[in-house]
Amino acid sequence: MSLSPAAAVAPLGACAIRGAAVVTARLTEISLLARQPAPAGAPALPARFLRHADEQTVVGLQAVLRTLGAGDPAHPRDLTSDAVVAASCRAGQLTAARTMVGLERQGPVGVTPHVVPQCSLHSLASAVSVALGMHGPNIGVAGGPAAISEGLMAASTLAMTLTAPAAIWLIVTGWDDQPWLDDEATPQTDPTCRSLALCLQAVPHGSALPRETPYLVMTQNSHKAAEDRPFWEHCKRLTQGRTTTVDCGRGLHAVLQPGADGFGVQPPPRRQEAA
Amino acid sequence: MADQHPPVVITGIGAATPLGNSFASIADALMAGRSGVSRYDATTFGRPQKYPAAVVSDIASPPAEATTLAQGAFSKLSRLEQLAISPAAWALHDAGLTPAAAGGCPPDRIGVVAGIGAEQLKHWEQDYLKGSRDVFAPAAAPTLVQRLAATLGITGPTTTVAAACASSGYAVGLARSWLHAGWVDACLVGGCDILSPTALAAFHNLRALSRREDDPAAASRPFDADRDGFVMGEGGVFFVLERRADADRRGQARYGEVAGVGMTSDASHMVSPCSNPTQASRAITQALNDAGLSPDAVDYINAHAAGTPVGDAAEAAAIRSALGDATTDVPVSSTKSMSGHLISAAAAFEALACLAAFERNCLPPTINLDSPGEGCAVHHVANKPRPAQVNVAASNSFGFGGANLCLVLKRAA
Repeated sequence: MSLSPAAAVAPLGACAIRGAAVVTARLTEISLLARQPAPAGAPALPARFLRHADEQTVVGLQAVLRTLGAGDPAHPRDLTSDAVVAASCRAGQLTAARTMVGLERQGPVGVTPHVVPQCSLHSLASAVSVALGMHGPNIGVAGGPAAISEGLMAASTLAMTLTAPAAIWLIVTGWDDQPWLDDEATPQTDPTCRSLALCLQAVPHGSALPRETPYLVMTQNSHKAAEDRPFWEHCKRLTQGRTTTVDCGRGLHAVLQPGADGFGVQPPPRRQEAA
Repeated sequence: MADQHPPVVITGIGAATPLGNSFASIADALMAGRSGVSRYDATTFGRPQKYPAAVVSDIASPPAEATTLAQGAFSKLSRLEQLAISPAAWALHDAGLTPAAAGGCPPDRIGVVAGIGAEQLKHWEQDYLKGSRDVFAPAAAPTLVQRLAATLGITGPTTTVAAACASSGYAVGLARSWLHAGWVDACLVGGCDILSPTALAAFHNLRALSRREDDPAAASRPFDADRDGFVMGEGGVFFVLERRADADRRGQARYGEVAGVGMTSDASHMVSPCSNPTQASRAITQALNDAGLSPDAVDYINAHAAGTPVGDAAEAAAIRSALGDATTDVPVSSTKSMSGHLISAAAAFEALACLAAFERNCLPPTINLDSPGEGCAVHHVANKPRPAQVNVAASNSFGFGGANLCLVLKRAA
């Protein structure tokens, strides 16, 4: 099988991109972000829903809410059948560090029961599913530097089994620089946490790829290696509406192709730095 | 869906579990109703922690021709790495797909999908317990699945998948789709997990673990009226999946077919199990539909049932709802009664138990099931194995955060 990003026919796993947002927040801003109301047009979260959540969960969920908030208020999405793929990179660090210190000083009673459910690889996906009532599959993937490529692969994989109107919410998160902590597990740096949310809808296998709408397609047997870019640079390219190719293993690429209006990425709301 | 994609079969198995390190030894233990649970000492920093738990007593070194490891290097790896690399290498060896094996497929046509739920947490914990402090200043490092692929000489696509206790089942579902899409010609798939003092303490503090420290073999009692929580275990289980036509072309024997996958979410709570069985039932129905089978075609269900009061009753309700009138005829057991709960590796282990049922013409029992608890009425295989011809088995896996998964497996034709 040889597929090209310009192919007119959708291969298995091709997706139209129905919405997108990028959110950035400094570590010191995240607790405030967790408490602020959902953006206008987005569903409200259950009270205190994020009080035990990991930083990447807070920022990732915010990107989903911003995508929803940018939708047509007259026709809000029915999220019931939607699926979630969350690709994080070294999430859970701060809680893990506090837990280790607690275990050493207080023994087992010093271990918070929230560390596993809130700081595991699935936690962000589950939080989005629970917060927004999505009953499609919810999975976490990656956990390391290849988060965006593994996230795109997993989303495309789920698209092989889900049919519209169900959407797949792909959320990719990571720190620009991982926080540095002291011996008390107190942060000594204030790095930026970044998230990208894409609302994807499967394009039926063999049907025409959309011309005006941005889309994701996996291409195979490509002999040209995709450039290895940091996550923040992928976010910047998507915000600028540029075609983005992500290496997913030898010969397998994920291609994000802009539509007539780019990717429609909702830019970072809090700080006007380059995405 | 069943007619649209080529059938995907299991052609290799590797395992390192509390019940054995090979398909045959695990099948023996399951069909003997043997418990792998003992009293586990998780003392850290001088503070005692003792739990009933299922420990892997010995991890076999991988076959030399299957890895790039230097002699003696395996024993220096972390326990989580060992529980990934050993079963994965043995699965490749079993499938005849090691780099040295004739007739194997190219390494860039082999993928790896590993269900590992909390790799970073486990790494940071083990590192901290050794006196290092990686958690305070994490360095960029490849993930375990990337190291696993490199160790096995695999250069196709790789990913880590997490859906809490259903992780390795979701891995099987994704790998099957990779084969359908033609992204790979073979896929190493499974999961692994270790016993962790932090996780044990966290689940204990959640009151999710059994407190029968003094009678560990009786602690894991799914569906029983006296169940009081689950028993944590560790292990690794990996399979090799291939399209049936490719396996036949290689003349490779098959253990079974991954015929259907169902995946849903409860969207109920981050921690508490959902008492409403609707979405778990829908996962079972989805998997049967995907396999093109009706409920009365199912010969055996390997239940997720971990021994928690809410979860087991909710699963029994989900099974009754999905099977309808067939409920009275379809035998159900939970092999966690013997293996403990292997967390990320649980779904793969329980798929293996279904393959053992095919091979042995026998159903593994739920041990410690003296009296089914309220709401747990299904057709139990209680305490003793039961001879039966099994052609179709369903394996349920449910996880924290509401992840529901059902795999439907078919006997190799």
